[in-house]
Amino acid sequence: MTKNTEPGFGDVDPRAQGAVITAPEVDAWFVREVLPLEAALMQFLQHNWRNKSDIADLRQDIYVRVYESALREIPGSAKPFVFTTARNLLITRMRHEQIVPFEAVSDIEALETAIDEPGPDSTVIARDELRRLQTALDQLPPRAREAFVLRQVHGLSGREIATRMGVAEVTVKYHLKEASRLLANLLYSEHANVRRPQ
Amino acid sequence: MSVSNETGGLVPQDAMRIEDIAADWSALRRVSETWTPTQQAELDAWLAQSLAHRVAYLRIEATWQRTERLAALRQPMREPVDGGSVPGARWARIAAAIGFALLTGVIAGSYFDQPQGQLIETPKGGQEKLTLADGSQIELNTDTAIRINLASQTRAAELIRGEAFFQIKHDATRPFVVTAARHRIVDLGTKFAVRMAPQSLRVALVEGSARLEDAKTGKRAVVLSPGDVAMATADATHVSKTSERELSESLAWQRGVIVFRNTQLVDAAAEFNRYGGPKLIVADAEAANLRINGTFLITGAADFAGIAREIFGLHVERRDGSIILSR
Repeated sequence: MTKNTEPGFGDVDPRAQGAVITAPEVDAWFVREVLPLEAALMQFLQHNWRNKSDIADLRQDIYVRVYESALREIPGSAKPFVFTTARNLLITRMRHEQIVPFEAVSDIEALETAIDEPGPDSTVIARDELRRLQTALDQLPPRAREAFVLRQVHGLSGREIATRMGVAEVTVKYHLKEASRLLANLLYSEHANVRRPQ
Repeated sequence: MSVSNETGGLVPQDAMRIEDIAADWSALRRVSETWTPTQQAELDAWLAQSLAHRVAYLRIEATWQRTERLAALRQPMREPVDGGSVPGARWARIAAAIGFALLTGVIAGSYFDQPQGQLIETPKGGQEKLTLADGSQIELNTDTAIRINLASQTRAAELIRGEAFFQIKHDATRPFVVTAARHRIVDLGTKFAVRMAPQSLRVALVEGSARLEDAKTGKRAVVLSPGDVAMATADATHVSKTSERELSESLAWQRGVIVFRNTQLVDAAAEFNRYGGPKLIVADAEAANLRINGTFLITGAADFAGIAREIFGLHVERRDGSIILSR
């Protein structure tokens, strides 16, 4: 039996005192409060930024800024914070690139009201979650879906999946990678998934 | 961390590439039979390079974990997926299993105006925050059931199982009474947490004061003040003082994390298992007695197992949706 000295388990000094915000706490906050806003954020960016190829980078930049602020202090309310960050970034970039798309400015003003729109209640989210995952899985390419389901639902190892699918392990990794990227977009970005079921 | 700056300096124009690398790391971890300290160090180094890497990785990992949690709701599927089966048919069975979980119900509604009281439940891995008509708030942790009854003269809640945090709007004319097992907690204007275990009840008082007593006789009453943690069993109530830090750590679930401090591996595994997800099994006594420190996401059972392997050299095996840790 190990007479334990602090093994430094986890990536945070467990002896940290007081109101230190730990990285896992920011991670948890980011996953719980920020990622669910992604569909609305993407819609906002798509409406307000002409060059669609910039959008992935804009989103990344917004997430970085939001995360960075949260390391100092976790905002009380994520939604206004994320959208204010998004607005400020767009304004800065419009100035930077010396473009002022007319609809962008008017939309940003309209945003103030949109921010307060209440989200769907948690009951709906819980019931909807499984259906949403099913729908998302259905949209994956067949091989990516097969690998993903074998891993996540059946708990098979990479090697077992490779044997079953008759491919190399590196191919399994590729399918899993593609599945996770597509699912991230389907589960977080796609606006169709935000609508409440009737 | 000089990724962005006030002048709107742009992050490198490669969000898609970063996402690709992040997804590659996540997939690699999941197909690897062994995960070496060197690989972990490489991943850590990549994550430390830029917050853009970290948020991209977090987003992909959140996707994996979100789907992992759903797999926990499935019906156990014992039959092996034989090589001859058609992928579509297999998928249909999985879909049917998920559909079944959907039908068996997840969370009750939240209607507080019914006089007979409203039963509210969270599934394993679920958490829910309730705001009552009187402005009081109750936050439910995983696998919890509570019945709430707000009447004109009285306010009552019965904790049937699980764990909840109460933030009660004080009303001297209408005290809020929480019953749990054979105990009763009478609010005297307060914030407190209650957790039920098979043989005992743990009440931690955060703010204000409350009285804990036997629900039938009103005997063995103790008045709790901030920092008090009461452990009540059928025959005795023991009160001890905890530090603000310990108190905050025991409420870490409200922030989506679990904090371990010199915790035995077997207890840590049990804590994760409360939240569903892949079931952690500690297979032998030697591994069970190892002690750990750290902060983890409540959905981080798989990460936890990976780190246990790395630090203690434990053997980690995945089988039937469980993760088995052994020496």
